[in-house]
Amino acid sequence: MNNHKIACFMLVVIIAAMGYGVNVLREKSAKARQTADATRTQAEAAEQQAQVAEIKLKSVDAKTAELRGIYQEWLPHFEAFKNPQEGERRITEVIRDGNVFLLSQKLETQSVSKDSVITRALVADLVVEDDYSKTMNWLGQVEESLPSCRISKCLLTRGDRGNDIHLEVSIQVPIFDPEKVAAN
Amino acid sequence: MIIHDLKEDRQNVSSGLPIALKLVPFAFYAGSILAVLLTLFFYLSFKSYESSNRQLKQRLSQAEAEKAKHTQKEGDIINVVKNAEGLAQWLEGARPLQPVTAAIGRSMAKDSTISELQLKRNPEIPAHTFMQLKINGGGSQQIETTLNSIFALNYQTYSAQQVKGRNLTDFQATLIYSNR
Repeated sequence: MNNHKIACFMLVVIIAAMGYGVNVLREKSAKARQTADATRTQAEAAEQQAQVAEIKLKSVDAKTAELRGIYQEWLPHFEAFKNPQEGERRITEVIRDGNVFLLSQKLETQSVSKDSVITRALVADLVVEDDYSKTMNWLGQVEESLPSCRISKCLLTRGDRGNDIHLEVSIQVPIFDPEKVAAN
Repeated sequence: MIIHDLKEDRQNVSSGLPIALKLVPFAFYAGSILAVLLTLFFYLSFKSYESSNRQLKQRLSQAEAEKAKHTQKEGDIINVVKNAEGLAQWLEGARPLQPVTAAIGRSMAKDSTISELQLKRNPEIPAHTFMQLKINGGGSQQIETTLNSIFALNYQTYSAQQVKGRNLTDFQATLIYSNR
């Protein structure tokens, strides 16, 4: 092999090396393009999902606005009784303020429902006997000053004296559990 | 003596290249130019794809963050709604009963008196209130008047039963509040 042939051979090798280099770069570029395409698809899908999530959020927001408004309005009344002692204190105050003749009272905490936000309630079984209008006003005051309370039983009969009535009432005061609310 | 005279004719070290190999240098020049151009093209393409990939990744992460934010907000709303439903359920069974008792009391005519009035919520459905009313005197007319005053408070009666005695009328019904 003479020098010219060796030079030719070297040139051929260099040409092959350049071709290889260009091909490597082409493959790299093609791979980058594929990656960019895949990322574009992902980004477009993610943007679409974000739009769907936004529409869903707006829909849920609009649909539940009224209910949430009522919730915000009523929440302080429920939050006022975080334990049975607070409920007992309030009921005692209402009885004292009403100045009605109380024959008996029984206060106990009962479980109401495990599924609901309200799991416990203070149940006050009260027996009152007093003037008709005074007793009826007092019953109204109870419901007004304890807006979240539920009168589960109310029995009205004639009292022993002329204008008196005998009232047996069972009042449930919901005990608000902030942990239960936070858990939801 | 001339030096040329001493030097002998030199033999050719190599013979001429075959025609195919003579094209190699041209191929080399052409290949070099092409390689430079292609390298430039692929390099610029690579850089461009890399740059757009970075931007797309940013778009992707922004979109994902936005979606997560919306989902989080929706979750918060749903939690509030769950709590609100719980309270609303309680409140549905906590409508004041005093107006009902007062309305019944006021509806009594001169010749009628309440012997006994019992209002009891259904433990399963507290919005349903069982009412038992025993009236001395008045009869059906009085029951009708009393029911009208209850209806005026947006209550409806279901499963109404009425038993008439000599001077005592026993009326039972379930009261359900209706938002009219």
